[in-house]
Amino acid sequence: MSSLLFAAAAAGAVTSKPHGGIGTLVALAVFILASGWIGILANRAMSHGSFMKGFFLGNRGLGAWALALTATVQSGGTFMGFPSLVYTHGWIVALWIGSYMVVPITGFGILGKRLAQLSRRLGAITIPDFFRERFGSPALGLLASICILFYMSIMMVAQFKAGAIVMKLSWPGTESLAMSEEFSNFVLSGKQIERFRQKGIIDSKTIDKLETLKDQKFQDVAEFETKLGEVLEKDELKAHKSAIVTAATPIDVLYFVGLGIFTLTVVGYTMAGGFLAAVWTDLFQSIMMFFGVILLLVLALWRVGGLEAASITAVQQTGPGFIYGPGYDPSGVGRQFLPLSLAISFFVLWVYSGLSSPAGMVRIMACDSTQTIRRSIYLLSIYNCFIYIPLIIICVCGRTLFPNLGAHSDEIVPRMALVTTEGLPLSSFWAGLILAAPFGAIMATVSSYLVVISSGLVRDIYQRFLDPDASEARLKFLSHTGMVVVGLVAVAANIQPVKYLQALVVFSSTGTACTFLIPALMAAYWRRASVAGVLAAMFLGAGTALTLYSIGIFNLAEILRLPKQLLLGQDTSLRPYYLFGYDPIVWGLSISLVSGVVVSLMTPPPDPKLISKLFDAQPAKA
Amino acid sequence: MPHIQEDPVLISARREALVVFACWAIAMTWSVSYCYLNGYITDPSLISDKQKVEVRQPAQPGGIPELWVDHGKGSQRVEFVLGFPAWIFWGVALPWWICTAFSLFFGAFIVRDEDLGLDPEAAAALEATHV
Repeated sequence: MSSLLFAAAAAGAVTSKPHGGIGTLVALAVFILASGWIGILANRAMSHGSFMKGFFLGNRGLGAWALALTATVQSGGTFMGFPSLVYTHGWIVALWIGSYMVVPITGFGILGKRLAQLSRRLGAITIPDFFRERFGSPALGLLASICILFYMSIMMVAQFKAGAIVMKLSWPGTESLAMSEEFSNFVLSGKQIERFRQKGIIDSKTIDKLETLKDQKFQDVAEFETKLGEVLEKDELKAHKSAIVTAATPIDVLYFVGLGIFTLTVVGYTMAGGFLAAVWTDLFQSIMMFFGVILLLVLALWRVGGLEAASITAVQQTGPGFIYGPGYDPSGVGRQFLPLSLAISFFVLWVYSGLSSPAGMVRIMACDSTQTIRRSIYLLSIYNCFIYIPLIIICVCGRTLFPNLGAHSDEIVPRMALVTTEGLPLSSFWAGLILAAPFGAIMATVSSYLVVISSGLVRDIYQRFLDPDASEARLKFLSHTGMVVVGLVAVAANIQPVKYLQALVVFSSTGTACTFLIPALMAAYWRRASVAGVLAAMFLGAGTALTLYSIGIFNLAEILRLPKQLLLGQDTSLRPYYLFGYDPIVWGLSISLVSGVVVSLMTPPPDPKLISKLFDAQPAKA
Repeated sequence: MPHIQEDPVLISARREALVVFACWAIAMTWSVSYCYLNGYITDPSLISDKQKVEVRQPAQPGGIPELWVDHGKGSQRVEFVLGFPAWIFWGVALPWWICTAFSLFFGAFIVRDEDLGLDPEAAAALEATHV
């Protein structure tokens, strides 16, 4: 029996490219309508109390389900970058993501109770509010606002592109299944070549060479540029490359439709319901994700004949790296995906970037009691158990079913959803429900970032520095306007879609952790922490991460005479310099900790009255 | 001078944070070291070498074929537990389930329920209703 199942797995590769049916689009439309409805419900729920506390903090009324399944559950990356990594590098990705085993207790148990208490005692609504009031320093509040706006904006702009692409791939009959970083089919048409000739911006000799590329299809811009390099001379390439690539870049109507629908939906319901709308839709998508993953797990295992058979087939197709560390290297150039130093780094990165994310910290500030924090730990620990390990199993099975996705490994979840539901009644609808999970994850992430960015602009900058006596109506108007403007900026930034989505997300997570983790711990637990110490911890933590990223991105290691970088980690251009093999988060947190402690001890202690209010038992009010 | 007591929420939060930090350190030490010692290929040039993979027919009729891999220490059979490669099972999957069980225990028996207090706005509203 088992050998028959193994034979089924080995022979079960799917060669045709599946595509979504009308049911897929219907499922997504239902999801969008449900999100809008949730926005309206949230609008009603936040109407009591002040606008600012209701719109940006949900009146501190978050229950266990909302807190557990939204504060530390990750973004669309869970369904995009992560499955692609499992498909590409194999079982080692289980260790890469392994620190999620402790995220339920680290996320709530290290800072949760104290952050919730201090934010109440200080009357803080936002993270900059918290730092400003805790240390009595407007400058610290302003620095925190600027850092949050910087990191959150980068993260949010990247997510808009992801939302548009998921929307696009759900369109019936679309050829693209990829949530990939590049558009497909770069083509230099005869019409475009003729336009060059008429305008006279490119000389006829070069145009004749371009004729050899006429109507050829290229998968992505890199492939197109390589071919251009083969056809043109160096000086011709230098002079005309930009114009030629722009002309060959396809106008992807479905992408723009997806971008428009995505933006209208997410900005619309967030404007209506603010923080609560973001949290409730996040909860809704988390539940969808749970059922989607469980359904996909059962279908995938049934399809390939068991996990062991799937692993054996996958190793036969790839090599020993698929089942052993440091992970399979499809390029064969000796890249080590997860050497020991990075395995340690990622155990730090996922735990502490989740803990110090401003969007997550605000949700903890909004929880209604310590019972909620306790129950959230139960819920999230069970939830994570049913998401991450099953996703790894699904993608290992996917390698058996789709052995040759190559550069399109990010298609694995949509392909699995479409193929494994084949033969079920209402198959495309079930596939759509599974696909709604990544769409929802992205919407929920964008929505929560919109709230954080808008609160940063209106509460932390406008109200704090420009107009402290602004009326509630004015603050409401500005909050809504801020969200529309941020949405429009994100759309404008994505007309030419941003590249390196996943790497941007990792960069922002690293930067956020290096900036806020140590200051937040100092604020919560250390009486002696001073303003100067916290400022130093923020500056130097963020500075270290930014410096190491800059060295990596701009290839400055050689100029700075640093040790030569081995081929480590993910294969992307937006990668940091891994000093001694460790991720920047390890160095950023270490320097932030040392500088925070040393500078605090070297500067005058904080006001004893303020410290007593925050660290000593307060007399009960009569 | 009157004796000043530390805030009870601070005391319990700090104790719980230390327990969590220890749990993270133990999980990381176990997972990373177990996986590194039992699941890593020491020679990176073998990572993508299909020639080092061999599937042998099972000793028992009807069983799953055996996977043999040469990862620098001679050809060795890859062990599986519940479908996971054994080093992933012992290094990641089992610790994950143990951490889940510990998280439930932590939430039920270690985290202490406390009064988080009211923010100034809520306190003022409460005072107004009492007046």
